[in-house]
Amino acid sequence: MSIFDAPELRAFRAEVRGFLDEHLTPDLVEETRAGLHLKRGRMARWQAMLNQRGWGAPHWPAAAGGPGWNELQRYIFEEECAFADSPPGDVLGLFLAGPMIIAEGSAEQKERYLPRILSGEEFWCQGFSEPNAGSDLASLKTTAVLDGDEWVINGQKTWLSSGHYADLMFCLARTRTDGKPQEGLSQFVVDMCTPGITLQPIYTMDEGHSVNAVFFDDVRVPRENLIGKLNHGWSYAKDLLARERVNNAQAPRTKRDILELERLADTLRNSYGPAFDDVWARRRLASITMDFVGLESAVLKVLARQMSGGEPGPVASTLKIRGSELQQRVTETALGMLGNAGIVLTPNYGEGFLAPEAKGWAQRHFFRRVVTIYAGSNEIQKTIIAKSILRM
Amino acid sequence: MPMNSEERELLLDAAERWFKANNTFEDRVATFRKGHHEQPGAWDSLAEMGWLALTLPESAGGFEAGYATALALLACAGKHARPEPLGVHLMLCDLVALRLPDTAEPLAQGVMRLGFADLSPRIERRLDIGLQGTLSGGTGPVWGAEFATHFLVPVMQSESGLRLALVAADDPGLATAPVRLVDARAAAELRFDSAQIQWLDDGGSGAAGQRALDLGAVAMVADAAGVFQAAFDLTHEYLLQRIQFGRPLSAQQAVQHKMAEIFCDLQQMLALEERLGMEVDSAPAGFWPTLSTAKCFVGRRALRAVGQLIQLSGGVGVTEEYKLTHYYRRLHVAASLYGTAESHLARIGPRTTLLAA
Repeated sequence: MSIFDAPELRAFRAEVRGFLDEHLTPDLVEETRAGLHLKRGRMARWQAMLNQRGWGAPHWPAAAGGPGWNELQRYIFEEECAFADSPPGDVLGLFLAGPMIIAEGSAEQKERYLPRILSGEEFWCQGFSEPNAGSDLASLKTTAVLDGDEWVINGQKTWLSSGHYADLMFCLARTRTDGKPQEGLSQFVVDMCTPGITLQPIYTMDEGHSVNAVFFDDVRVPRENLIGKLNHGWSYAKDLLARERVNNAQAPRTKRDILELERLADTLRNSYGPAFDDVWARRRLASITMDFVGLESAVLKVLARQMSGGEPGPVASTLKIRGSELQQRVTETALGMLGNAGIVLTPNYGEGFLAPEAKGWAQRHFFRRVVTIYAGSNEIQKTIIAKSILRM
Repeated sequence: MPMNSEERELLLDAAERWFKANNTFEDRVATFRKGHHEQPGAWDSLAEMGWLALTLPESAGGFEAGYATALALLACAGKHARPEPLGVHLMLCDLVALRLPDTAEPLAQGVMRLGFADLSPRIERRLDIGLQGTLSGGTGPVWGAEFATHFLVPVMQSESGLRLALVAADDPGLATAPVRLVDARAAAELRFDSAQIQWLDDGGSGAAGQRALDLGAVAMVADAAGVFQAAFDLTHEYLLQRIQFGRPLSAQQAVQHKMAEIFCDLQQMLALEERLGMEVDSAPAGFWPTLSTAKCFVGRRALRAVGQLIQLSGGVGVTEEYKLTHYYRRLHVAASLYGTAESHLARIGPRTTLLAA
């Protein structure tokens, strides 16, 4: 019997499914299915609906507005949302900014920011990486200097996912230049409409736009926008990145993708006939499924710790490594199955030779080259495991 | 009553102590070539400590401690590369006692002992009269054969799938040929010439043979989890202290990254083993959706990972006396017995596995 098979969990799954059936409209599903770069308006609308039901942030503690679920409920919810192709919402607010503010923010900050993440009214972006501080994040150069009652920020940030429609940024900036580089960093909330901020789009190899570069020229931020203690930004960033890595394992979405991959194989088996290498496809699907169940089992252990109040810690790096590798293997396999249909970026399926489920894999494949790089490249994750867990 | 986590810790502590005090790996080093044998009296000690009754139901005088507990104990036995066939006993004694209630007591006391043959293409059923019959043919190496009083033998029958036969070790139609497994554990191959058997399934339902093989596979997963953990810990310790180029090997980034990758595999192996234990406890009669994944993982991921631990250890990692090579060889046994990685891979598919799990 599966660990998800207890009667109360079955009832819970049915409740989630019922809600999704009732509220998820076809336009939301279609855009989620087709797009890697979703529009803010639709995501906000869906977030508001979830929030009305009390499910705005399943992974937050109940005191901060979470529903008080255990890890299996949280996982079932995320899985059903993935199966139903519901929009992911503002990942940066829900998974990064929110939990950091819950852990480190003042009472005023919690009151100011958390409700609007839950309701979908405000979207966030992350100002961490810089052109010369990617993997080597601690060497970042953007500075924040106190001038009267305001912090004045100067510098440059890059790889801002959703930066072009975010309202707020959590920004890591240097507030001290002496001592170890890690000890002079602080976290700030920056309103993206503040004068002095210039945004530039960065197009990725799937020809989509979801990341941006941003420039700060004497950007003035109220003094109270410092999160937590001055010069403690690095340790908050480490916790934040560990939480991000649990989410980056993307287990529920990958489960959905693997099932979609099997449907793709079914379709191609019919349309390609003997030209389709069925033995290879079945073996590959089985192997991917095996590695997925290994990943999922490890994810559930970490979620259990997280949902009972602990931080995931450095072991989250194992989930990020294996989860991101698996995401890439899924699209690689899809392209392998598709053959020449996989080298057309916007294939025309009007002739009816290939079914619609063959669509979109090439874009996903190219965009996903990034998943082993972002949130700390997998090489950085290996160093974290070696240093923090294995003490090597 | 299933053991709570505190009781389980006490059991595992006791197991650690007993394994460290009795017939340790170091004591066995000198006798590799003769095989890793269980010491006389060892099984009686296990019976006295109550281990042999752990998975038997309370109604049959057992502790009904839960399979998650049994798996944790088997992982501990794997860590110590134990020669006693605890896995066969803990996973299969309940199945035998359920069909033959009189066997519960002798099984718990260690008087009746099981050996469990893997599926063999060379087995032939000769004659059936009700639940009795005869077998001819032979098997591959049988774990637990050295001291077995009875053998469990899965038999493929085209009309009813896999049945399960019980053969007494002293049956005149049975001959045994001692062999060593690749990790030096003592085993034996069986040859049947019209050996008398008793079918352990009612009226020819073909479920019992497959069930026994799946229970054996669960034991192999637990053993492998312990072996992998121990091999990792041993290598980790070695890399921290072995100096080359004027600094510990563990200071080399190439070594660090390889160990980090192996650590990822280890986390998944341990999580799969725990999840499987929960599944078996929640539905002892099956189906366990994680079984094929976990068993396949042993052969396709854990084995390769431990091979990499040998690579990281350098020359010492291939020597006969170094414990790591024994872990690697023991893992080969765990990967192979009761369903190979390939046979379990064939049972995995996205819909069948993911929607069930």
